[in-house]
Amino acid sequence: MSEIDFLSIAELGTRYRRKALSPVEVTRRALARIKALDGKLNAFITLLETEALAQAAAAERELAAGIDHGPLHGVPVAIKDLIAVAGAPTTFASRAGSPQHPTEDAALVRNLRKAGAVLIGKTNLLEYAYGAVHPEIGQTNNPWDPARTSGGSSGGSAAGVAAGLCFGAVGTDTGGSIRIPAAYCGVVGLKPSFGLVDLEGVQALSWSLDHAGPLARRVADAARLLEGMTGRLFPARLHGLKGLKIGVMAHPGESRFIQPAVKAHFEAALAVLEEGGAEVQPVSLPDLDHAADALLAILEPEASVIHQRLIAAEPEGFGEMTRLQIEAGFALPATAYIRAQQLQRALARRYSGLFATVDAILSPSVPWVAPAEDPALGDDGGEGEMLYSAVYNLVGLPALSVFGGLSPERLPVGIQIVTPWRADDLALSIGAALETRIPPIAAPLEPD
Amino acid sequence: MLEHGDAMQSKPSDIDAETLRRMLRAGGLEVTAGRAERILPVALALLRGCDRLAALDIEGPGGAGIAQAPDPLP
Repeated sequence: MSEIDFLSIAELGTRYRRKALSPVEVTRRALARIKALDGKLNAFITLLETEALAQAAAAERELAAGIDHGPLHGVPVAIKDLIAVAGAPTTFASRAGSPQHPTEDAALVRNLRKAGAVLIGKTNLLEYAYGAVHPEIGQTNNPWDPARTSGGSSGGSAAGVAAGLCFGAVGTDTGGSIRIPAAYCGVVGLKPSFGLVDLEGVQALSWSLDHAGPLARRVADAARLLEGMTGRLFPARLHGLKGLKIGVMAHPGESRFIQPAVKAHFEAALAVLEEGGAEVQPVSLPDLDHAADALLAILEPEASVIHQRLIAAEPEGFGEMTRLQIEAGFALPATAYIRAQQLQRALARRYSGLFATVDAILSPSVPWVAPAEDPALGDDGGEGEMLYSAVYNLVGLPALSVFGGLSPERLPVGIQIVTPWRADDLALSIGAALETRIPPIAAPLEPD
Repeated sequence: MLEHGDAMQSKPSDIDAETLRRMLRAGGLEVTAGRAERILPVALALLRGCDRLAALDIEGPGGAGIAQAPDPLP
């Protein structure tokens, strides 16, 4: 393993500006590493080799001329393949309505380009970010164990970052699709506050629940990516943990799903925060056990309406599982959709009240480590996988997954940090504080 | 044969493939009887979640989905 492929974005920038490394050299290395490793991972759908090298060369010329776009200048970044990148195909990891050839960038891509990022490729995902792999495209395998999934739906972005194929990536999250693969791959993933990242040019799955956000190897890298995507500042610096009030949310049904290694690492993370001066207390909210039902009662009919024309025109283009989910959503009663919205609002109010007593809420990100395959949406496995994540799509709160350690079979465990509405920087700050005490470990995957 | 009152107490998930086909049509999707059979298990799982939501006693407004955010971003 070369240290260069796993540098932090800050260190990469320092070396660029000292002329110890160049954007072209680093982009060439990343492209070569993708070619060497992606046969095992299936993380990338489209490699933007010519475009990325041209962007890297331009970034290099600008730095030489004293033009500096900031921390992402010349940094290779990957984009989930349901986000428009002008001049590159968008496949949605589907054969239906695919590929599209956008002539304009999505808003977040436009912002990343302005920040100087080099767009290296488009990453694999569950079909249209729904709950299933298209069988002709296949799942993204996990860099920690290629016999397991990288998780969904932003699995290609998480695996690419974990395997050192890029220095950051963009994913989307409608029920956990950034945080779940981040946890499975041992990287950082942030679902920002609802509305923080502009979704123009991002294929919708559910207007009420969709978020886009960064995946990175370190919290500070995720903060720089979020800055690049939004044009806002997220310093992610916490001035000590002393007095920070951490709530540990009681999730009904947790004991049915949680693996001992995940529980142990979560308790260890709490102990680490307590040692740093944080105060940890149990918290609970009523009706949390119905969050997944509410999420699906909103997500499924919205997804069905979004895909209405395509499912009529090209039903065979979808994988069977995605097709069944889209079709089933047409049967959902409007009364159920409205009850789900009632619960959504009630939970948002209850969380708002809870944050009068605590600064952040912690839980595991997922109750287990990466399985062989992604569980199906709507069944018991799907419910377990979204146990900790789904409710934060409903209520729109920022939720960050950070590395929490390795299980006995050397698979990553994720820790989720949730903070009040628009307190994304606090989530990043607490994540950074935890990261200094539980440092990230690079995935062991190397070329043959 | 169900009396009217009994029918009112039935759950959304108490349906067969033909009823599902009619519900899908009302929702805007035409499918064959055979396709409705395939969709039925997925739809039933979704509708059982609807049953659980219907059993909750939640006060307050629904509608306007994303407006749950306490205040909009500038």
